[in-house]
Amino acid sequence: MKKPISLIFLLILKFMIDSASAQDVRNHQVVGTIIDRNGEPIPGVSILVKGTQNGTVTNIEGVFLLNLPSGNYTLDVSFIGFKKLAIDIQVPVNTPLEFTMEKDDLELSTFEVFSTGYQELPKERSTGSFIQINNELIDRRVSTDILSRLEDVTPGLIFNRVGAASEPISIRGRSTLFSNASPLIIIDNFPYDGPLDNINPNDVESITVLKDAAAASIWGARAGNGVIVITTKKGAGLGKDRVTLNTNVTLEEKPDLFYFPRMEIWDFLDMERNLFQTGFFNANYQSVNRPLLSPYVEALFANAEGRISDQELEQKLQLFRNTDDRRELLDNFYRNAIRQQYSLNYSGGDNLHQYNYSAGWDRNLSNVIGNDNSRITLSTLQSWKSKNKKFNLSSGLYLVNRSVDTGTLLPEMFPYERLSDEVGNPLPIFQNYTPRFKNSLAKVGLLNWEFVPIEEIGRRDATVRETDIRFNFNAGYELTKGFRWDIYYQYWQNDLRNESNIGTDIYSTRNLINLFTQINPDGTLFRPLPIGAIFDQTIGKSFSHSFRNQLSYNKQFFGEHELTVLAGFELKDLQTVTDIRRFYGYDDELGISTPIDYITLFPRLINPASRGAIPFNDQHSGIINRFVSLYGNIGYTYKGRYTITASARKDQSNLFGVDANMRGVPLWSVGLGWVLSEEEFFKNDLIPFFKLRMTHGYSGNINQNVSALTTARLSPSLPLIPSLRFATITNPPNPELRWEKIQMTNVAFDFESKNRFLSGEFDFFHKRGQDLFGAIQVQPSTGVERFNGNFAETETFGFDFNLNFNWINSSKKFNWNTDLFWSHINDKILDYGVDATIISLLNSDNGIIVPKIGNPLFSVYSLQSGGLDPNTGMPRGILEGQPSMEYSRIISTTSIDDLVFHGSARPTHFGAIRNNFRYGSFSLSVNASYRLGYFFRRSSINYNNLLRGNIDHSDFSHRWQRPGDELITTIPALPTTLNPLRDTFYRNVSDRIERGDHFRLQDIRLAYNLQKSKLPSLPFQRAEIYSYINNIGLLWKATDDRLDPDFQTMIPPRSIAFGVKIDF
Amino acid sequence: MNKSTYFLIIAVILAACDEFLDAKPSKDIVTPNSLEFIEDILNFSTRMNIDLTLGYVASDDYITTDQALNNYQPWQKSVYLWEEEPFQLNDVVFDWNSPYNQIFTANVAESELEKLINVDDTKRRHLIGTTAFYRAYGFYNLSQLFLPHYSINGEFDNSISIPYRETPVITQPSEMVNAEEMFLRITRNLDIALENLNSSSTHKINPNLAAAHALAARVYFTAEDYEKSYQHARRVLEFSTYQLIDYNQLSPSAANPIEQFNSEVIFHSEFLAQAILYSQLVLVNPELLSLYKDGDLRKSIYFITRPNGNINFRASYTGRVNLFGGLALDEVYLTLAESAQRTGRTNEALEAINFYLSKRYTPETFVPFRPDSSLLEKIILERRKGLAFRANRWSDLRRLNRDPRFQKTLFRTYQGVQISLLPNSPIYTLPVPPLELN
Repeated sequence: MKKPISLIFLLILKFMIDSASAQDVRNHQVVGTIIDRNGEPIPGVSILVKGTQNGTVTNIEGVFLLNLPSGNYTLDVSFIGFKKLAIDIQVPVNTPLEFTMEKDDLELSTFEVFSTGYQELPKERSTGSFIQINNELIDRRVSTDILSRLEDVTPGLIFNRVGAASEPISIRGRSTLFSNASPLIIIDNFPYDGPLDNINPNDVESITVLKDAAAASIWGARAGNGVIVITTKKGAGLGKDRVTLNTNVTLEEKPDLFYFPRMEIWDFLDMERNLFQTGFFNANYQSVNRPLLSPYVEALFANAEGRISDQELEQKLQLFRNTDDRRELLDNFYRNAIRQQYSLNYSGGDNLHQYNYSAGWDRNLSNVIGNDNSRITLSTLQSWKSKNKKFNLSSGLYLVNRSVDTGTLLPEMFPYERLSDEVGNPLPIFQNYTPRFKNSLAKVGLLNWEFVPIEEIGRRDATVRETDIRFNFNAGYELTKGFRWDIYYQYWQNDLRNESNIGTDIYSTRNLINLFTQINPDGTLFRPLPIGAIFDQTIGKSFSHSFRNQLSYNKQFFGEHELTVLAGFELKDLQTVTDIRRFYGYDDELGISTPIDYITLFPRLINPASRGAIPFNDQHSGIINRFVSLYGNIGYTYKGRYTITASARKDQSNLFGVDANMRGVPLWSVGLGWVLSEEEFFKNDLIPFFKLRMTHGYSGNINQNVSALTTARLSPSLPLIPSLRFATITNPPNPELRWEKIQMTNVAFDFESKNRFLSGEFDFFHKRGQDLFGAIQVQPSTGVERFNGNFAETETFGFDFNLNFNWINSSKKFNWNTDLFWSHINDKILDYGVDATIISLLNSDNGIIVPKIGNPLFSVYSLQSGGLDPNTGMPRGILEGQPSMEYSRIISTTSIDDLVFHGSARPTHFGAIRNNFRYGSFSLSVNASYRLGYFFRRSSINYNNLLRGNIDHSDFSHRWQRPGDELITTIPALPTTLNPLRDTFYRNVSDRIERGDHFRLQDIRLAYNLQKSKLPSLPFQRAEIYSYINNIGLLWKATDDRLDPDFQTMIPPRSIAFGVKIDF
Repeated sequence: MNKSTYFLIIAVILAACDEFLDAKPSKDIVTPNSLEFIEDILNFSTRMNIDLTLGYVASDDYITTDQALNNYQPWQKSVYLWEEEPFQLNDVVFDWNSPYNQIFTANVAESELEKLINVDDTKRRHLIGTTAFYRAYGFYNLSQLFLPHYSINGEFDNSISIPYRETPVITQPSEMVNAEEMFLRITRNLDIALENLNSSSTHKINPNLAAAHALAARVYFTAEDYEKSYQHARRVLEFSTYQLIDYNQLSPSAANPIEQFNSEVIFHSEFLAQAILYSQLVLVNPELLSLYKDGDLRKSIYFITRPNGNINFRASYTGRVNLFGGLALDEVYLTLAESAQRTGRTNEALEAINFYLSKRYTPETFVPFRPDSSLLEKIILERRKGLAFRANRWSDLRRLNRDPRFQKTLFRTYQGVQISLLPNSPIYTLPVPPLELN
C-alpha cells in the first residue's frame, strides 16, 4: 500500500512546486492553523487583518492562508463558541503559524459542526434542521448495535412499534406509503450498503440526523425519509497519543413468556373435551392426511375406543392440568442473555500525519440456550498533509467479521405438553402427524420419528458468517486560495455465508426423509431421499464502488462576505449475487452428498394419493443498482448574520424499463438564516444568541419493485412438471410511472439564554408527499387485485422542540441539567386513487397502511358498540340506530364515514426527558420517554380460534356467563357454534380501542470518574466506571389494560450492564 | 489541470452513463421479450390450468355434513346451500378472480407477442393460438357460473352482463357483455385457436389443436349447437395420440388408480386448490352411487370406501387428490355420442358410446347399446356416471333443465331441514361478487 501512495505524493509535490512558482513575488504567504485545546483543527474560523478588508476563513483542516506584503500586522481571529484572539505577526513568516483558541464556556453549545456527509458545516452558518448526537451521547447507552443509540435522544426520530419490520425507525413520520421507508444511512461520506449490525458503536465519533430538505436534496433521490450521517473516529492530531479501552458486560432477564394473558390450561382442556363431544375432531381424526391432534384429544379418542381406561384418562388429565409449556420452555430452553463488549482504540499523530486504530470484540449469548453471536471489528484511518498543507490524503480500512450460531430452535408444542418427566428424562412431543400413524409404522424400519426437543438443544449446526470490508480514500488539493479539488472513493465488499448442516440427529431431517419413504409390497423400503444430513447453503457476495469528484470554493472577501460553493458528480455501482443451494444425504466428514431426483412426483408416506417432488431449494439472484448524480451547493453569509443557502441535485439510476429521460429526478432546496442576536436592535443580555432559519425544497424516493414495462419473474421448476420453468407476471405495464417527491418546509429558531441557563431549538415543518406510489384495489376482472401507480398525496405538519436546562452549574461540586425534546407529527392522506373497504380499514391498526383521505397513514377504526346482549351475552353493534346482532348486515351497511375513527395508530406526540446529575466524580443520567396521542386495539378472546381447538386469551375467564354479567364485563359469552362473523365484529368493536399514551422510565446510567489529575498514582489518565439499566418500565399509562400499549405480545426484557472505559 | 480538461472528463463520463444505467437491476426479472419468456408465462399452470369449483359445490355429485360446512368459506357454504346472495361485501371469490387472472395473463402474453419481430412464425402462431384458447377457456368457465344459460335455440336471458377483456392495460375499461355476446366472443377466440395452434404440444398443460377441438365441442355442446359439437368431437378422434384407458387394466387397490397425464388427457387442468375439496367428508351422493350397475368398473375405480364407511371419490384424472376439470377423451366420446344421436346419426352415436363403454365394463358384463327410443336417455345417463366429479355437471344441469324430459330438482338436508333447487331456478346464475361492483 505504501508505494502507490508515495508515488501520488511525488506527483502532487511536483504540481505544488509548479504552482508555487507562479506566486506573486511581492506578497508573502502566511499559512496558519487554528486548533482547539485538544489539538483538533477548527474549520470556519474567521481571520481578519486588522484595519484592512483583507481576510479569510480556515478550511476543514483548520488551515488559513493569507498573502501579505512585508510588515507588521494584527490578525483578529474569531469564531462563535470561542474566545476572540488578536495576534501580532511579522511578515514574512518563516514557519507555519499555529494558534490555539479557547472555548468560550458561555457559548459552548453553539459550537457544533455538522457533518452532512458532503461538508462539515458550523452550526451558525447552517440553515437546515440537523441534530447532532455527540460522542458522549452515543456512548450513553450500552448496546451491540449503533441504531439503538439514537433512541429517545433524537428529536423527530422514533422507533416504530406499529408497521413493517422493514421500517424500524421514522424521521418526522413516514414519507411514503408503499415504497422504501428507511432513512438513508451515510457512513464516512458514502451511503452504507451493508447491514447496520456491522457497525461497532465504539468506532463512531458522531451522528448527525438530517431532517429537512436542506440536507435531503444534498442526498437526493434516496433522502426522502431523512438521512443519518455516521462519522467514525479520526486520528487525534496534535498532542499525545491516546489509547482508550472500553469494556462492558450486559445481563438480560429471561423473556417473560407469561406476559401475554393466555387462558388457563384447565379452561382449555375443558374446551377440548366439549369440542370432542360435539364431534369436532372426528374429521381430522379420520383424515387421510394424518393431521396432528392434541395429546388430550388423542387420549379422549383412545378412551372412547377403549384403548385406555377412564382412570388412565383421568391420570393424563391431571398431568395436563399441571403442565404449562411456557414453564417447560423457560426451564429448559431459556437463560439470561449475556452480552460482552470489548473495544480498544489507539489514536494520535502530529500536524501532518494522524492515525487511528480500533479493535472491537462483541460476544453475545442469546437468551435461548445454544444460540450466540459475535462480532470482531478492526479498523484504521490514516491521514496525511503535505508540508504546506495544500494537499491532503486520507485512507481508511474497516474489517468486520460477524458470526451467528443458531444451535437451537424453539419447539412448537401444545400448551400442556411436557419436555421431560418427573426425574428429568427428556420426553418426545407431538409433532407434524398424529402419533397413531407414526406408531403404526414403528416396525417398518423408518428413521426414528419421535421429536425429543431437549435432546436437540444446541445440536443444530447452523451458522452465519459474514465478512465486511470497507476501504475509503480521499485526496484533496487546494488549487488556489479557497479553491479545492477533492476526490473520494469507497470500495465495499460483503461476503455472507449462511450454512445449516442438519443431520439425522435432528428431527426435522428424519421427518423429511420418512415423509418420502415408500414401503414396497415386500416390506423393503425405497428412500428417494437418502439418509444423511440436509445441508443448506446461502452464499451472498456484494460489492460496491462509489466515486465522488468535487470542487469547492470558499472565500471571504471584504471581511464581511463569505461564499461557499460546492459542486461535483458521483458514480455508484452496487452489485449483489446470492446463491442458495441444498444438498441431500450430505456427509460432512467425507464431504460428499447424494444426487437427487427432483423431477419425479413421489407419493408421500402420510397419504400416498398426495404426491410431491423432493423440495428443490436452489435459487440464484443478482442485483445491480447504479446511480449517477450531479450536485451543487452554495452558501453565502454576510456579516456572519445573514446566510442564504441553495442546493440542487439530479439523480439517475438504472430503474428497469424506464426511458432514459425518465430515469432521473431533479431535486433542489433553498435556505435562509439570520442571526438576530447580532443585530443592534436585538442585542440584550437575556438572550445573547437568537437565530432564525428556514428551508424549503424537494427530496425523492424510489421504488425498485415497479416498472413501466411488463415484468415477470422466472422460477426454475413448475410444481406440476418439475422439469419445466415458468414465469409469473410481477408488474403489469404502467407507462405513467414517475419518482416519488417529497416537498419539505422547515421554519425554526435557535436560542440561548444568559449563562446558558436555557437553550434550545424550535423547528416547525410541513411535508407534502407527491406522486407517491399507491397500490389501489382494482376490479378483480382486470386480472389483478391491486395495481401500483403514482396515485397518492400526503401531508404532514409537525414540530420538534429541543430544550436544554442548566438548573445548577456550580462547576465544582454539583451539576444538574435537563435535556427535553418534544416532537409532534400530524400526518394525513390528501389524495388516493380509491376508497378502502370497511374491513381493510378496520384491520389497519396491524401496521398495514390503508389510506383514507383526511386521516393519518396509520389509523385506528372500529365499529360502534351496542354493549353485550343481556340475554345471550353476544356482542352487539348498532344497526339503524338499534342494538343488533346481525353482524353481516352491520358490517355491510356501515359506510366508511360511519366507522368510528379514533385517531392515529402511531404516536402523534413523543419525546424524552433526560436528567443529568453530576456530584463530584459521580454522574447519573436518567431518561424517561413518552408517547402520546395514539390508539391501539386491546387483545382479547377470539372464539373462532378457540372453537377450532387452539388456546386463546385469558379474557375467557372474564366472559359473560349469566344475565347481569353485561354490567361488569365487555367480553362476550362463549358462542354455541362457530361464528367467524361474530369474532370479526367483536375484534372491531369500539370497546376494544384504548389510548396508547404513556410515560416510560427507559434507562438509568450511573458512572464514576477517576482522573490522574486528581489521583496522580493512577496508571492511566482517566477512567469511567459505569452501569446502565435498560427497559425499566412504565411510569404511567392511560389505559387500564394490563399490557404495555407498545408491546402487546412480548415485552423487551430488562437488562443491566457494567463497564469501564479507560483512557491511558 | 485547466477547467476545460475538467469539463471534458465530465462530458465523457456522462456520455458513458446511459450504458452504465442500462444494467438490469435484478437477474430474475425479465421483460417477456422473446418467445421463450412468453412460453414461460403461459406455462404457469397454477394460474393457467384452472377450473372453477362453485359449480361443483352447487351440483349433486357430493354431499357433506353440517359440521364440515363450518370449514367452508362463508360464500362456499352459501353456494352449497343454494342461497340467493351468497357473496358478502368483501369476499374474495376465487372463482371470479382466478379466471380473470388467467385471461389477464393470456392478454399480457398476446400483447407482448404482437411486439415481437423477426421470430419463428410457427411458434409465434402457436402461442397466439394458445392465448386465444385460454381466453375461450376462461370466459367459458365464467359464463357457466355468472351468466344465464345460452342456447343457439334462442331461449336465453340477456339481462345480465359481465366484463370481457382482451387488453392487459389495467386502466382500460372492460366491455360488458351478456350471455349471447359472450358466446360469440368465446367462439371467435376458438376460431383463432383452431386456426393457429399446432397439432401437438410438448406438455399436456399446453393446449394444442386437439384441445381446441375438444374445447369447441364442449362450448357448442353447452350451447346446444349439437351439429358443431359433433363436428369438433369427430375431429378430436383423428388425433391418434389419445386413447381411451381400458379400466380392466387398472388396479383398484392403488390410492388413485388413474395416472396424471394419462392417454385420455388432452388438456390438463385442475379445480382451484381448496382444502374443502379434499376432505373425507366430501361424500359421494348416494343417488349418484346407485346409478352404477354391477360390472361397471367406474364404480370400483372412481370410489373408495373408508374404514368408517365414508365413500369418497378418489380417481381424479390429475393422478392426485386435486379434481380434474380439463379436456379428456372420455368426455369427447360422450359428447360425440349425444351430439350424434341428437343430430340423427344413431349409428355413429352407438359406435361412440359402445366403444367407450367397452373400456368401462368387465368383458363379462358389457352389453352394447342397441338403437332404441331411449338411447338418448341412456347416453345422458352414461355421461352423468362417466363425468362425475369433473367440471361438467353444473353446465349439464343448466342445459338439460331446458328440456322437460330431463329436468331435475336437487335436494340437500341442512340442520335437519330439506332444501331444494328447482330446474331453471335463478340460483343457476351466481351474482357478480360485490367486490367487483364496489
